[in-house]
Amino acid sequence: MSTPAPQEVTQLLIAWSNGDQESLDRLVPMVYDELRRIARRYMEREPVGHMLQTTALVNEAYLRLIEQKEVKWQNRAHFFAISAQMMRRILVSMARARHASKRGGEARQVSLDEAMVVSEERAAELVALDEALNELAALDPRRSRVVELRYFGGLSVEETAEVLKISPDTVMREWKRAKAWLYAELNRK
Amino acid sequence: MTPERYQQIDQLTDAALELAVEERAAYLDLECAGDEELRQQVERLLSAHGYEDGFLSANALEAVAQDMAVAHARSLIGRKLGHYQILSLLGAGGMGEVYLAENTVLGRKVALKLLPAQFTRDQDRLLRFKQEARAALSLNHPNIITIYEIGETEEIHFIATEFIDGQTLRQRLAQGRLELFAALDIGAQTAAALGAAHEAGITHRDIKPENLMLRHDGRLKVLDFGSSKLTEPQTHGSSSKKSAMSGVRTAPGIVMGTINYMSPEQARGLEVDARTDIFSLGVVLYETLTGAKPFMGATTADVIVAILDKEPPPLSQSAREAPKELERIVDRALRKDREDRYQTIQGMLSDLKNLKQELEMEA
Repeated sequence: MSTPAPQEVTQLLIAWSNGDQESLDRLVPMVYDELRRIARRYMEREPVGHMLQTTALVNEAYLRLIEQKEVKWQNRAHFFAISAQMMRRILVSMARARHASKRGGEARQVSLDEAMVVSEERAAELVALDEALNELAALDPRRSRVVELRYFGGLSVEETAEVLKISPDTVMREWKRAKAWLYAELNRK
Repeated sequence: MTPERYQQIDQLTDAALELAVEERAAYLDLECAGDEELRQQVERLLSAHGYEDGFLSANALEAVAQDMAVAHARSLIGRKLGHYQILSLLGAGGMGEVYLAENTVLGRKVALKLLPAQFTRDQDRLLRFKQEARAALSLNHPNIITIYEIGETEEIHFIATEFIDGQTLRQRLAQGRLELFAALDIGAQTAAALGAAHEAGITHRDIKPENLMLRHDGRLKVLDFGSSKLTEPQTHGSSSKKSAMSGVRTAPGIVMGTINYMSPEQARGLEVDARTDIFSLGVVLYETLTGAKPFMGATTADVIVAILDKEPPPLSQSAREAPKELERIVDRALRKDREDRYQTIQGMLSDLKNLKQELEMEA
C-alpha cells in the first residue's frame, strides 16, 4: 500500500470532519510516517519541539489549506481542533490494537516496521488516558478539550487559547488542573 | 460523579492549595463536614498536585515516537545484515538510520545507512535513487564520503560508506559559531566537493550542517550525495504545478529545520540545478559565521516566506570580524534569483580561496 500524498491530508481531514469515517483509515499511514519522522529526530537526540509544537503533518495540511483558496474552512482554530481529534483517535486506536495483541503469541523475528510500534506501557497509558479524558469531558468539557488540543494535537498554549477563545493564562490554569485530575485518576486504578 | 460535584471538589482543592500544608486538614474537616467521600477525593487530587508538571509533558506523538526510536534502535543493534555486523547507532536522518557496522569479510568498519521502507516500497523512486547513488558512487574526491556498496539484504536496502570518525557541522555549531578561518575552511572544502560533483553532473540538493562531517584532522566530508532524490515527489513531465509544499516534502522527512537551507526555487518546488547548492552553501556559511540561520520563522510557512522575500540581517552585524569581501561572497550566494548568484561553484570557491590567502598573508 502506498502512502497518500501530503495534500490529501487536508482533503481527508475535511472529509472526516464531515462524517466520512473511512477517511480516518487513510490518515493512519500518514500519522505513522509522522511518528517515524519524530522518532528519527529522537535518535539524533535533537529537540523535537524546538521550533513548533504543532506537528509537521498538521502544519503541512494547514498550509495546503490556505493555499487552496477554494476550500471553505471555517477558520484555523477549527482546523487545529479537528486535527487534534484525528490524532487522538488514531493514536488511541493504535494503542488499543497493541493492547489487544499483548497476549498475541509466538515470538517472531521483528521486522523494521513491526519494531516501530507503541510500547506496551505507553499503550496501556494511552488507553487509560483516553477513558479518563472521556469521563472528564462529562464533568468539565473545557478542561478535556485543553488536554486533547495540547496533548494529542500538540498545540502550544497560545494555539490552544486561540482554538478555545480563552486567554493563554486560562489555558495554563486549566491544563494544570486537568493534568492533576487525570494523574489522580490514572493512579487510582 | 456529577459536574456539580466535580466543581465542588475542584474549588475545595484550589482553596486548600492556597493554605499551608498543616492547615489543610482542619480546613477540610470543616468544609467536608463528615462527607468522607468528598474528603478523599479532594485529598487524592491534592496529592496529585506537584506531580502534574512532569505528567503529559511530551505530547502524545512525541511520546509514541520516543518509544519507536528506542524499540527500533534496540531491534537492530547486534544483528547481522548480510556480511555486516551492526555495532551501534551513529545517528539518523530523514533518509533513515545510520549504524556503525563491521564488514565481516574485509574486517573493516563502515557506516551502514538503512533506507526506510516507506521510500523503498515505491519501485520508481527506488530506481531513481539507485541511479543517483550509482552516479555518486563514481565520485572520487577527498571531500566527498566514499560509498562502498549499495545493496539489499532481507528486503532492507542499504548503503555502506566509509566510516568517518568526527562530528557533523551541526554538532560543532551546537558549541557556538566558528571563528573566521575555520568557517572559511569549511566553506572552501564544501565548495571543492561540490565542484567535483557538479562537474560530474550531480547536484547535492541538501547541503546543510547535518550533511557536513568534520573529521578530527580537519578534513571535511560531504555526506548524502544524491540521497535527496529518494524523497522527491514523482515528476511526470511538467513540474509547473508543484507547489511550495512539494518542495518542502523534498527535504528528507525531518519534521522541521531542513527547510532553512533550501534555495527559493527549491522551496517553490521548481526544477533545481547546481545553483541550488550554491545558495544552500551560502546559508551554511552564514550560519557558521554568525551562529544564526539567515532565514527564520515560527512556522514552516514563515521560513518559506523569508527564503523567498526577506533579506537576512547583514553578516557583519553578528560576525564583526568578517571582512567586507566575505560579506559580498555570502550575499552573492544568497541571491534569490539564481541568475544573480555565482553561476558556478568554482567561482565561489576561488573567491573563498583568494580571501583565505589574503587573510593569511595579513596575519
